Amino acid sequence: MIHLLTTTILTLSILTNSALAQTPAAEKPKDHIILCLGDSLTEGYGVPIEKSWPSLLQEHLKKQNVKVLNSGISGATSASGPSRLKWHLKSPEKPDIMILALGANDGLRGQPVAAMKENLSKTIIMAKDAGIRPVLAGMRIPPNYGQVYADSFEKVFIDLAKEHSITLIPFLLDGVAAQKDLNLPDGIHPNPKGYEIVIKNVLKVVEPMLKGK
Amino acid sequence: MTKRNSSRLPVWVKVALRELINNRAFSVPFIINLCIGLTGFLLLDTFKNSISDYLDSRSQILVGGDLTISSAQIMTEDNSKEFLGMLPPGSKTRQEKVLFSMVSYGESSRLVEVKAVESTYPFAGTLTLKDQGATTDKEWQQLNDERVVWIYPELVAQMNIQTGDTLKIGNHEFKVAGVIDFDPYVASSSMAFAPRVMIGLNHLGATGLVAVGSRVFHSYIVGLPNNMPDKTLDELSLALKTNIKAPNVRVKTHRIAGQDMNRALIYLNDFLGLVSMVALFLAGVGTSFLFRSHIKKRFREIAILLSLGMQRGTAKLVYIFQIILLGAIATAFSSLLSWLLLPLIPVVFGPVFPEGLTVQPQLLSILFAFSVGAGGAILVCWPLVQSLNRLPAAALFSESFSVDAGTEKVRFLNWLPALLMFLMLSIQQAHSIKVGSLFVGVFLAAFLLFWLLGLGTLKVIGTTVGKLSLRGRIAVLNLTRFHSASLTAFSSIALSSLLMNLIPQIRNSIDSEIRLDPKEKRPALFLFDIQEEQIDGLGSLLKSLNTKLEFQSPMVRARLVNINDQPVKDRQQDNTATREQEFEQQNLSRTYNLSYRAATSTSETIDSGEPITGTWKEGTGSDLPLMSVEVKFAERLGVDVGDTMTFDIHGVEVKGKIANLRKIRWTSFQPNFFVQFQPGVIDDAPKTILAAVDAPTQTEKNALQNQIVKQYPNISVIDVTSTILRILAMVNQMTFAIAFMSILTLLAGFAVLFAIVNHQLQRRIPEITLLKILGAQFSTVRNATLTEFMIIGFLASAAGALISVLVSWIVSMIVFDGVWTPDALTPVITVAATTGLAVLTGWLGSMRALAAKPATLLGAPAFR
Repeated sequence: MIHLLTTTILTLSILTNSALAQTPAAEKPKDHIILCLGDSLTEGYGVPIEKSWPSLLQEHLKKQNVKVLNSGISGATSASGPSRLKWHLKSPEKPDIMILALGANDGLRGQPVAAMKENLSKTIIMAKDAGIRPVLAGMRIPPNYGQVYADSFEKVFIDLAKEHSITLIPFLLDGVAAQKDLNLPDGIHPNPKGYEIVIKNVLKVVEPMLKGK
Repeated sequence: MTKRNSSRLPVWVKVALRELINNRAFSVPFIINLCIGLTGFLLLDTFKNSISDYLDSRSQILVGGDLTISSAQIMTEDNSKEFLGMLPPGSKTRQEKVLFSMVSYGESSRLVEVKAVESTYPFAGTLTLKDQGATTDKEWQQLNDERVVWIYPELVAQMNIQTGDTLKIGNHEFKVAGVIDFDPYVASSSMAFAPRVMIGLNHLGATGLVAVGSRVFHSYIVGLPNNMPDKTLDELSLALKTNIKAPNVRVKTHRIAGQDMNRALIYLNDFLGLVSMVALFLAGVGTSFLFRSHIKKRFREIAILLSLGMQRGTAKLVYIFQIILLGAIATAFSSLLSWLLLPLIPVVFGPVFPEGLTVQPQLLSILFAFSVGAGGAILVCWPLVQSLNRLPAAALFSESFSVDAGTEKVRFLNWLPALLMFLMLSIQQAHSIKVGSLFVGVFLAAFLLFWLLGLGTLKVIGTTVGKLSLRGRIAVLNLTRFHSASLTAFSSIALSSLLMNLIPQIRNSIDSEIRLDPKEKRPALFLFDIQEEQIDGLGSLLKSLNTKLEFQSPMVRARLVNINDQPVKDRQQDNTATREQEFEQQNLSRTYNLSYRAATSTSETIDSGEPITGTWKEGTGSDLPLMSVEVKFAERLGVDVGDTMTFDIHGVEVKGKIANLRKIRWTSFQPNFFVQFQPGVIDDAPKTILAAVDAPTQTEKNALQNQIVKQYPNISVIDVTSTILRILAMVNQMTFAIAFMSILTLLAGFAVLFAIVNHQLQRRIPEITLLKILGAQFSTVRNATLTEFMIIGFLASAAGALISVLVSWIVSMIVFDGVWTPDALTPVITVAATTGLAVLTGWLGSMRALAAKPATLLGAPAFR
């Protein structure tokens, strides 16, 4: 198998009729490319793609020269973080900000928090090494998983933010979680109204970062 | 019966009984005929009623009561007051709350399903504990009074915890009081991916697990006052569903829950019920023929009675009484036969036969069978009884009188009640107006098709008469002259042959669909969510466990953005008129798992276009990377070979050209994908790997699962062996069950043939005797008759077998995506056996007629 993709993408970005249809050559380079690396909460499970929080972020930042990439995959766990970031590092549209919103599925599946921490840490280090400013989206697990597990789960995000000196969104679903009218009937995924609040949680952190470029 | 008693009977009863006793050549085959048709029907109806009783008792156990009212959220007191007030007086309720939580024992922790129940929890059924047996009221009370838990055995294996140890759930510690051996309340399990732990509802609050944001499945189990009819239960369920205002509250009766759990059994039984209808229909045809033969012979006597002053109504009563009496005797025999065959039912249904179900003769079924047998027989014989209206007393002096007098329209209308009954019974058997009506439509169409096919065949063989020997000429002429009888026999045998052949033909296709190619391997465990960097470590782990990773398939998540450079968003419509359109719209906006592979797998075949070879490099070969798309997926998206599709892979758009459309044998249980890219295009895209592992023994499988989960907690392991084995066993059993019922149908087909032979040869006695008088040898007449039945048996069974091959091909094209493996042996065996049986039946039915002495000629009906 020939691993030519990196070279290929870079070469083909200026070619017409290319397999990897890239930004048109004439388009002005973006001031910021924000990568949203997450799971179904990022992908916008159960709502139209335009209602997902990365799309809403793009909409909010439309007056600024910013591009938002939605890299949300339903069911993804923190283990997928490093390999998925690797793909974006090879892209000609290399992000300069990464909002890392993984971990919820690790929690729901009762996976060891130490393993989750290691995976997220690896992703953060990889981003920092590539000159990307990581933002960690904090997550909580429903109380029925037990106080001990829920606490240790939440602590992972706080600790990682401290350890790597990175920005933390304290809780991505703050004001949305456990609110019946802001979630789909499954009680886990936000509905469009819920995403309107999620984006506020994100903007609180991202906007100052963009201003302080 | 004494002479005095007998003299007290009405005249019509005496006449009817005398006729039946004196015409055993009619009454015995009539009973046999009806008995065969009714046996399958009665057998399945008995089974159906037993299932119904079983589900009634069992389904209450599955849910723990009569009714459940549940929600994925905690129901508040206001919510509960709302529906508790709607329950009838005397109802009792129990609550249960189910949630997922992490529990710990020593250093290890695991995800479990915590089920918290009240001390008086079960209304029905018994939960048993290992080494302790059935749980008692005291133990249920203890579950709520003390901090104890009952745990599933899986947890014992996973955490090495034992009875007497302490398990921490939430903020509190619980002593393991028992390991659950049998849990009947499986219907209330919300999900089964974690082992269950049962605690007292009193202690749930202390665990601290129920708080704002907790995901808790909350149910009320309702025990209604005794002997509440199903109808009232359904009405109550409907009233609750309509009136409960709280969102996301579900109401389910125990019957619905039971049906959900035994759906395969219910469907199979309904299907077999329809197969039994074929036997019943054929029995109707045979009965009608026998009765026609019988009543025709009685015309002279009836004419005498009419001339002596008997009323026509009384004459009709004689025959209706006869039919009812014979129907009752046939029902009695079929009840006996069914009773003897009942022990076979668990064998026939095999793995779908539920544990604890006992099948016993049911009075209701016998009464139903009697009403079907006697009522059906009256309806199919009614047009013939009606012919008595047209019988003149002068027939006594007539040289010949045709019983079939009357217009075609009137004759057709006379058959309508019988057809209507057939339709209603089919609907009742299928439990569906649509399925039952469709069955009758297809069935009648098949019968008509065979009729027309028989007509054509008779015309063709009629042209060969001149070239045949005397024996052949007599045989062919008999077939063509009495074409109505020939066609009925032809259609009945062909229909039986079709059923007998169709099942093995389709089974062959199912087998081929599921069976492995010698080159193929069927995996035991599927591993999902493997990260690329875990492959090497996982490989080493598996090597140390004497196995390896197979079918490694990269999965790249992508969203379809363009088709032929046109954004799919532009193709989406806001309003969709049909479900299919809605499905198409969903397809357009969905994300897919793409993959790449150098060559097609053993479960794939190229349907159109060219195979993809080599790795893609810009500037070589195709301008665009090539893709292989699954044929039905391409149909749904409206794309074909040569079209382009662009996918968004995490913000990077990748465009490819469709090189070929591929058919996939999904039942190979190998990883397959709708869209496969040429290698060299998406290899570096973020992906997870799907792979399979072979593990020969269950012990090895358990060890493998534990090791993988321990070292790679993100990898999900799914055991597919049991699923595959269950499907295969189910298919085999269903095929066997249907084949079993088809035998009854074949028997019914031959009973029809026997009836027809009997009817026909009675008519032909004068000719046979005339041939003898004219010097024809007995062997010539006998061989001509046997040749006639050989021809009809061979042609009809061959037609049935041929049509079965055709139908199996159509089914394979539609259902099995073109995998068609015709079975050559079954048609050959069926045709040979059917021809032989036809000759034997013909011989048995014609013995008396062939042995008739020439002296009877003067007494034969045609010469009267």
